Amino acid sequence: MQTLLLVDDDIAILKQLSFTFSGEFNVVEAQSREEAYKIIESSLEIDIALVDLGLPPYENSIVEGKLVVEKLLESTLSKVLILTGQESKEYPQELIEMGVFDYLQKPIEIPMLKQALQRASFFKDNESNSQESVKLSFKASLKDGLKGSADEAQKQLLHKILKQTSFNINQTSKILGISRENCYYFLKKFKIERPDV
Amino acid sequence: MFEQSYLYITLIGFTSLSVIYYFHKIFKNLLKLLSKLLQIQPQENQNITDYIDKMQKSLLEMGVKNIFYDIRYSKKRVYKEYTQEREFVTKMIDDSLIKGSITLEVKNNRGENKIINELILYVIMLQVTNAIHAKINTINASFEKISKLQTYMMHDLKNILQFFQAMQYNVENLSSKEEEQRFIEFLQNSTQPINRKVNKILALLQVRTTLQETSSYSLVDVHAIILEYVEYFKLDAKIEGECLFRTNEENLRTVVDNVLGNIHDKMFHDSKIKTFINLSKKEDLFELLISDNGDSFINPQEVLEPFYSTKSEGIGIGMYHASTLIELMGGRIECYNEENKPTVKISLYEEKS
Repeated sequence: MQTLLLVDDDIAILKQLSFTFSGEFNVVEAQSREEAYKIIESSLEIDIALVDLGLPPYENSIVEGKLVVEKLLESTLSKVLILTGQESKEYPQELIEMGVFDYLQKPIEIPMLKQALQRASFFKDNESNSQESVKLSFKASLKDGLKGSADEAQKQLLHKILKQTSFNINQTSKILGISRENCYYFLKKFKIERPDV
Repeated sequence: MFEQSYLYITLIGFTSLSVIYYFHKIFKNLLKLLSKLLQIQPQENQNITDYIDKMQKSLLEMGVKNIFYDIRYSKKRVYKEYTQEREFVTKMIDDSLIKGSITLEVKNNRGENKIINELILYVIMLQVTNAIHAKINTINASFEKISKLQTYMMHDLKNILQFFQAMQYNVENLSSKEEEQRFIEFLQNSTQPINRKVNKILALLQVRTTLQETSSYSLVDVHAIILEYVEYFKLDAKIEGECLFRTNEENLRTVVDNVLGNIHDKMFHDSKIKTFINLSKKEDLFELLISDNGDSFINPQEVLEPFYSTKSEGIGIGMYHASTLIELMGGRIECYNEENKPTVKISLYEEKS
């Protein structure tokens, strides 16, 4: 069963949504940024996160929620969805660019919210499966020896994972089990550049 | 030769004395005028026409018979129609927000009076444009507050709607007795927060409870209510005193919610804040003292004013609402710093059964 992190300062919504999704997910709840950080930093692996942006003490801005999203994208491989009452044309674009999977506005009908979570769950599942093994193919030049083949294999693997994560360096590093700095080193080494959006 | 020099020096001396006298006369009048004009400060959001009339009256003795103007700002126009007079001075106003002109009708616009009139007009123009700018700022600030208020209400309304959407879905999809039981447990956790949200919206809408209804009064265990909110806000609090008191429970809850909610918000910046609560009752007078060891009130006398907030996010309606409720209940709420501790004192008289 996948783990769903619900972050909302409104305990009434938190409890209702928790009840709604408790059959499909292992639901964990957080009412503030601090609580969310504790869960993210714990050993629990979060697959999907549904985050309200207006968290205390700044319930009417996206400051705290954005920090939670940043932390989630940085430290986990979860699919992050936003469910917020904040109204702004810039926020959705800004957050999608950060790597958020979906941006939903409150109030949303539960069947629609379910659909969005199921979509995220499906993507997460596919990613997990595809991350278990990656097929690489290349022609090894014998004159470059083993070193040349290893470099080519590394380059292709990095390419594939970057494509899967939409060039998210944090996620790529995590999947490959290397540090961010190492990831940047390989990008430079293999002259891989971020594609234009 | 000596006679010629003597005549020359006398002439220079006489001319210098005349110039000094001339300037002395101008400066003396000017100082009088400036001190007069500086005393006429516009009141907050004062009508511009009234303000100019006030200036004109005090300038009468300075030879200013009338002030005509035609000024446009923020889609508004204020004007006093100009009549053709013999002696007048005009100046145009043209800044980014204000356009128009001011004309002085004067008794005399010759000699040194010409300079004085020019300066009077210049000072009037400065005062009027300052007053209009202040007015525009006040209007903008009000709009900002109203729009902030709407955003707050919308945000809370959306949350309430979201709660009902989820609750409706859950109720429709309950499939077993066990689930029903579990749902009731979940629902119990939701009642208080939803009540808080609804109360907040009512406060923002300035809906006041009808206090005349005696049925709304009951014997209230204030200690229990305070304890409930202390636990809800997870405050590190020391509560002293017990009190059973006949009052309007809903209103008292709203007041406690607002006061303790403010301390809870402070804890996001300083988690070590301690709250001190003291309850006491002498005959029919009940007193509730709430203080904390966080930052003192910057302006204690303004805490209860509407739209006063020290939080960048706040709109300053909570404490105003609390004070309105307490006053409607015939009590009093005071905010002050005691030994640097921000303190809220609530005094209420017990309602007769």
